[in-house]
Amino acid sequence: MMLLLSIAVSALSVTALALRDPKRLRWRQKLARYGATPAKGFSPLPRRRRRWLLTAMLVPGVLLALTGMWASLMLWLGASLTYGWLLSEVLAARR
Amino acid sequence: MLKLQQKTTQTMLALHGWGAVIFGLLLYWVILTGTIAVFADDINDWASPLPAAIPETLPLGTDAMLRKAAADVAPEYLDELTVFATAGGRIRAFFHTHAEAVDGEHPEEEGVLFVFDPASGDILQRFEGTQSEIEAQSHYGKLGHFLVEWHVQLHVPSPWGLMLTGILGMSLLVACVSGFAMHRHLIKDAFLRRRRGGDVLSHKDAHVMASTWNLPFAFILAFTGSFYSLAGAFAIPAIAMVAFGGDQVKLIETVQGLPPAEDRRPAEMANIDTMLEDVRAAGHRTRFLTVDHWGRQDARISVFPWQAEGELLPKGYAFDAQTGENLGEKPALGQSPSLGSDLVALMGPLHFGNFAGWLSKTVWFALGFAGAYVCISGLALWVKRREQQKTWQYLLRATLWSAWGLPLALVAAAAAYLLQQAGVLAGAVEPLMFKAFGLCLALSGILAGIVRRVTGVRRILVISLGLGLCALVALRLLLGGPGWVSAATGGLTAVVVLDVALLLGGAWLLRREWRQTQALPEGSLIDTGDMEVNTP
Repeated sequence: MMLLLSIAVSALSVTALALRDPKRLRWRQKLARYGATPAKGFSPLPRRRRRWLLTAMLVPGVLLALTGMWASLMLWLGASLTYGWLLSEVLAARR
Repeated sequence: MLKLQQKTTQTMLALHGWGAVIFGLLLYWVILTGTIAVFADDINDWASPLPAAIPETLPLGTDAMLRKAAADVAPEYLDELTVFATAGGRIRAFFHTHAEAVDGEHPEEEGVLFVFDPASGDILQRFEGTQSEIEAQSHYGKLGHFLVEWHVQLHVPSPWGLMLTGILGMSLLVACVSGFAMHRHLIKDAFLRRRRGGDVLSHKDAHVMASTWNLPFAFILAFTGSFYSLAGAFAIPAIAMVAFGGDQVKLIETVQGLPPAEDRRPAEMANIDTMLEDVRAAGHRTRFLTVDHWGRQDARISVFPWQAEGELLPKGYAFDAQTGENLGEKPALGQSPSLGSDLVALMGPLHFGNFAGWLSKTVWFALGFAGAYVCISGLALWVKRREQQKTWQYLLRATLWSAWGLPLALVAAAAAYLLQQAGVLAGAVEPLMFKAFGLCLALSGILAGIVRRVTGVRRILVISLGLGLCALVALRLLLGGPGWVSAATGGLTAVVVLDVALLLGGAWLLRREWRQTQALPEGSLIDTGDMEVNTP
């Protein structure tokens, strides 16, 4: 349960960071000039909020480590990193 | 990530790039086969299932099977016994001793291998001889073993194969460190993936993004993999040479402690089923067991289970062979628990990702896949940056050949295994798998060399792989493997899940290739000054 919750918190943070990533959005805007669908409704996150989200992404891992749940920590790390990569690929594939 | 001087960055870049050019393709082979080998046990269960799943490894009745086998072997082979599950949950018991090889230098295990049906307790196979003779005849579990051997030592004899994979692991560590140091915006570019007609920037983003997300695990896997390869092949002999005058036995005795004094008097063995139940009662699933000196006063029994839920470190339990009393946990190294022992024990779960069943294996598979992708995308980027130099096009063709030809050859090896098992192909299974693998790899290599356009090479190989993955499922069914309904009702999870995974993988590749065929040709790219995109 703790593991699922940790992965969910980190996945949500990664999703928010990815959807409102300034560099990615800047590229989408450029693409939009040539006919691609712009990333509607998403504006780049201010730096401070990005830092908060980054912290939120990492906090579950710190908590798992502090409570000595090492197996869950490794699973959380692996699942979060895989999710981050796949999400980035999926967002890049969208036209 | 680090602010380096320009010269240092250039050195890092050269180290990163040339290291990849020299080791990249072999590294990809090791990573890809390792990624698939995460599911080696499940692949064995898929290829050679029993009619119904065996709920427990080494179930009730194991004791009777082992006693029956022990009565049927020469006394010297009762020296050591290893018992573990193989394809479909069958039990593999190897009674053996350590005999000197013909060259007088390399001790080789020699004994009798029994394969049992755990449901009925019947002996399915019995082979006698040296380990290499037995392995040449035995059949179950060979498909997974074939994959694992590619990963562990590229099928190169020991210790050279282990040294080679150790060097490859070190080169991956160097790539991780140099990549981390020289990419200035590693974190900032984590979500940046610009796709613009397959130019340098597209290749760079593909490589950097995948390696950013994969970096922590690439480091962990490279470190633990190097440890496994080099500890046995290099470190133990080196330490023995420096500190023990080359005596490896003395080194092992110093670390593990002296074995108890010999007592060859006969003694009745306690019930092994009771010991296995004792381990299960502690929340573990049993994995394998070892017995030293079966039927003697100085017999020792150790049971090694899978990690209980939430545990990362594997455990082992020692038992009194005469009374069956649980003597407590057996450290991985030394005689008593220590940090060093825990660190050594940690290498396994971190490298194999098998500490939480399907969940951890799936995560490790995904991370391994990302690692393989990083290798190929890095090589593609290197060639893309040298597009005008014709010589580098050969590396691109070799990269495509490896990227798609290797999995295709593995599919061919799996097909050979299924055909041999069904009796369609005659002969020992491993040479047949090698022939199929080599033939497929050679054909795809020739194809990669002669097809005029590089895109054509990729297209042919990807379509072949997609079709091959789907055909493998059809072949398994045609050769009399359990259908999906009977597999599902018999609890054969590996059969259903791997069939679906193969079909989905094949369909995805075919769809991907079909979509790329539908896309507009490169000639319709429009140059927009600062970037180019495909016209919609």
